[in-house]
Amino acid sequence: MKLEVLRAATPTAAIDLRDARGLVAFVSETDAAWGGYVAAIRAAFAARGRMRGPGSVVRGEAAVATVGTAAFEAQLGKVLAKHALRREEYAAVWLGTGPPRVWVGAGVGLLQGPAATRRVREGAARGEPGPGRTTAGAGVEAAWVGGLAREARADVERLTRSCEGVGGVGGRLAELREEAAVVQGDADAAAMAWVRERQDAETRLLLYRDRERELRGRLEQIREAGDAAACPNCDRPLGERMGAVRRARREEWEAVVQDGKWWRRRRSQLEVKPERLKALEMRALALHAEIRDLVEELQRRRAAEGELKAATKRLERLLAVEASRSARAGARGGSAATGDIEAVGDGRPATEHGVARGHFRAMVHARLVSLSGGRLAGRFPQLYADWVAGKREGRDAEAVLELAARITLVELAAEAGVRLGSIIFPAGLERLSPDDLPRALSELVLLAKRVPLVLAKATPEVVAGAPECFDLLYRFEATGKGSRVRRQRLGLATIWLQGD
Amino acid sequence: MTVAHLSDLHLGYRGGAGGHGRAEDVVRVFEAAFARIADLGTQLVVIAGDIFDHPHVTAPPIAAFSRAAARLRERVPEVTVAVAAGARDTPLDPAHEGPVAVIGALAGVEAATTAVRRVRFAGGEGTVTLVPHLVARRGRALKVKPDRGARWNVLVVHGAVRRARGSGAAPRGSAGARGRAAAGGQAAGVGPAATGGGSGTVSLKGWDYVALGSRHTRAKVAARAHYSGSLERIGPDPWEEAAVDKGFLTARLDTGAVRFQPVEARAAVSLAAVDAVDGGTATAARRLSEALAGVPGGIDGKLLRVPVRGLSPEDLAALDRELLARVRGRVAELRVDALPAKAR
Repeated sequence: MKLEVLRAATPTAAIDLRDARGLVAFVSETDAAWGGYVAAIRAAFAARGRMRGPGSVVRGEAAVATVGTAAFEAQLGKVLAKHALRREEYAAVWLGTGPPRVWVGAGVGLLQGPAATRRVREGAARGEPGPGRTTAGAGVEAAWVGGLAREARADVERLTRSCEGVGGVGGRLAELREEAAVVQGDADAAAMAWVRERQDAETRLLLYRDRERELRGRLEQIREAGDAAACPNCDRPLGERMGAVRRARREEWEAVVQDGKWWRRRRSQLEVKPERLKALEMRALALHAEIRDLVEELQRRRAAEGELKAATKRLERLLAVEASRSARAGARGGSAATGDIEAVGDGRPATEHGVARGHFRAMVHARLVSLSGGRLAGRFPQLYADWVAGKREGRDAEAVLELAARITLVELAAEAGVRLGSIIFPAGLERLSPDDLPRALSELVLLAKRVPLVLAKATPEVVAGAPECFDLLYRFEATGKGSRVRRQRLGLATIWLQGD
Repeated sequence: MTVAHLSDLHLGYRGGAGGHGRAEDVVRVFEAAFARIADLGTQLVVIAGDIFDHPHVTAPPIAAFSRAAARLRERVPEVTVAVAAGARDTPLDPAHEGPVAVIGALAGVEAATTAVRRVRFAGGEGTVTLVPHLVARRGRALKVKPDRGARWNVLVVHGAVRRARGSGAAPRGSAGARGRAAAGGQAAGVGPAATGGGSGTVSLKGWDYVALGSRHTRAKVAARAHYSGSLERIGPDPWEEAAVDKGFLTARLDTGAVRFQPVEARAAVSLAAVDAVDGGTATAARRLSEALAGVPGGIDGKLLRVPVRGLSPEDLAALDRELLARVRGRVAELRVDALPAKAR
C-alpha cells in the first residue's frame, strides 16, 4: 500500500506524497516533528478499524483508504490472508515497528511461503508437534527441508505451467491487435464512405428539388402569360413558339422529377447503416472484447511469472540449504548435521522454523557484511544474538544490523509478491558511521527501485552528504506559529545535449 | 588555447576505512593534478562540481584547495581557475552558498554557486560559462548560450548528461530518474536520484568545449563534450573503477583535441570469490592466503575486495579474527562480501 498522505495527530501540516517516488528523506531539526507523524500512523495501524477522523491515507490495490479505518482493514486483511502474515509482521515490513522476534517471524514466514506458514500455525494451534518437534535430529530436519523443497518444486512446476502460455497469449494478442487494426480501419473507411454517400444524396436531392421548383415556376409563368410570355434567353415574346418551349420545359421538369425521386429513394436507402459496415463494426467490437480478455489473461500470467520467480528463488534457497547440509554432513561425518539449526545462535532450541530461521539469519549476515564492508563480520554472532534477545545499547553496529534485517525483510516481502507501495525507515541512518553510510544509501537507492516510495528519516548532514541518492526532501522547519513542511527536489539534474 | 578539465575532487572525503588515509588520498591526487597543470602551463582550469565531498567541510579541505591554487598561480600567474558548484558542494538551505563560495574569493579562482556566471579568460578572448548544480536542477528554466563576442566558449555543467535525439526538446518527464542509467559512473558511486533533479536542454552549437561533472569515470558524450571523471577511486564501490585509469583532461579549443592526463590513484584489487563450501575456516583461510599471495605487486596499501562463498556467520567471524584482521591492517580499505553457497 502506497502512502498518499502522511498526517500527524497534532495539528501539523499533512504531507502530500501522491507524486512522491523513489528515496525520500525527512529532515527535521527536532525529532518531535517527525516522531508525531510516525506515532500517528503507528497508532492508526494499531486501531484495527476503529480509527475516526483524518489520518494518513494509503492507496491499496482496490482503493484509497485512511489507515486504521474499516476500509483500510478490508484491504489489509486480503494482503495478510494472501501471504499468511500477521498484522505485527506486516507492520514490521511496512513501518519498521515491533521487536526483533516479530521481524524474524516475518522473515521466516516469507521464506517458507504462505502454505507452509499456515500449516505450521494450524498445527501449533491444534497443539500438534511441528515437523521439527516430532523427533530431534538431523534426519527429521533434513526430511522437513526436503518436504519444503518438494512443495517449492511443485509450486515452481505449477507456476511454470501457468506461465508457459505467456508467449502464446502474447502472440495471439499481437495477431488480434493486428486484425483489429485492419478491421477497425475498414470499418472507419466504410463509415466514411457511407456518410459521404448519404451527404452526397442529400445534396443532390436538394439540388433537384430547387431545380424542380424553378422549372415548375417557369411553366406556371408560361401558362399564365400565354403567347406574351417572354423568352428566358432573349426576353422577346415567345409567340407561336410558346407551345414548343412549354413542351421542352415540361419534359425537362419531368426528367428532374424522375431523377429527384431516384435521389430521394437513394437518400432513404442511405438512412440505414450498410450491412457491410454493421458487420465490420460488430467484428471490431468483438475483436476489442477479445483483446481485453487476452490482456487480462496476459496480466494474470505475468503476475504468475512474478510468483514463479519468487518460488524459484525459494526453491534455490532450499536446495542451497540441502546442499550445504549434505556437504557439512559429509565433511563432519554427519555428526553436525544439525549445524544449521544450532547456528541460529539465539539460545533457542531447534524448532520447525529452525532451517528458515537459520536462513533468514544467514541473509541478514550477508547484508550486514556488505553494509559494513566486512568490518562487522567478526562481531555478527554476538551482535545478532543480542539483537534477537532485545538487548540494545544504541551503538552504530546495532543500527547497521537493524538496517540489514529491515532491508532483508523488505526484499523477501517484495520477492514473495507482497505489493509494498511504500515503506518507512523511521530512524537509524544518523546512527551509521561515515564508512557505512554511503553503502547504506546505495542499498536504499536499490531498494527504491523495488518499492515505489522509500521514506527515510535523516539528518541534514546525511542528505547533504549524498544528495544524489535522494529524490525528494521534506524539511520540517520551526516557525513562530509552530512548524511547516518544505518540499525540495534533490538528485542530479539531467542535461539533454542537442546538436553534434 | 588549452583548458584543463577536472571534476569530482571530493576534498574532505569521509568514506572508506574509517576515513583514515582515503581523505588524504583525494588531497594527494588533487595536488598532483594541479602540479601537472602547472607543468603544462595551462591558462584555464575548469572544475565541473563536487570539489568537496559535502557542503559541511571543515577548514583542512578548503585550506588544501587554497594552497594548491596559490602554488599554481605562482607558477602560472595568468591562470584562471573556474569552478561550478556540484550537488555535493550545495547546502540544502538555499540561503547558504557553501564552501565553493569561500574558494571563489581566492585570487585567480572564479566560482558559481547559485547562478550562472560568465568569466572572461585569455585576456578577454574567451568566456567560460559556469552552470552550478542549483541552476542545472531547475530544469526547463535552464537557458545558456555561448558568448557571441568571445573567440572561445567553454561551458561547465554539473549533471547527468544525455544526448537528445533530433532537434526536439527533452522528452516530457525526463527527470533525473531516467537519467540514472545514462549517468553511468555516478556521483560518489551511487548514481543520481530517481526523480529528483530537473531536466534542461543545452545546444552544443557554439561551444568549443563542454566540461561535465558528476560521474566518476571519464566519458566522451559528444565531439567536444566530456566527463573527466573523478581523480581518485572513491564511493561505496571503488572496485567498480579498478580497471579504469584516473586523472583529468586537457582540451585544445582550436582543434578540439582532448588528452587524458593520468594521476596515480589508489590501486584497487577485487579477488575472485573464495569458495569455502567444502571446508570450514581453515580451508577458506588457506585458499584466501593463496589468492592474496598471488596478487601482483602485493596487497599493501591497496583497496582490496574479498568475496567469500559458503561460509557460515561463525566461520566468517573466525576467518575475520584469524586472517582478515591482519589483512585489514595492510590495505588501505578492505571489503568483505559473504556470498551464499551455490546450489548443486
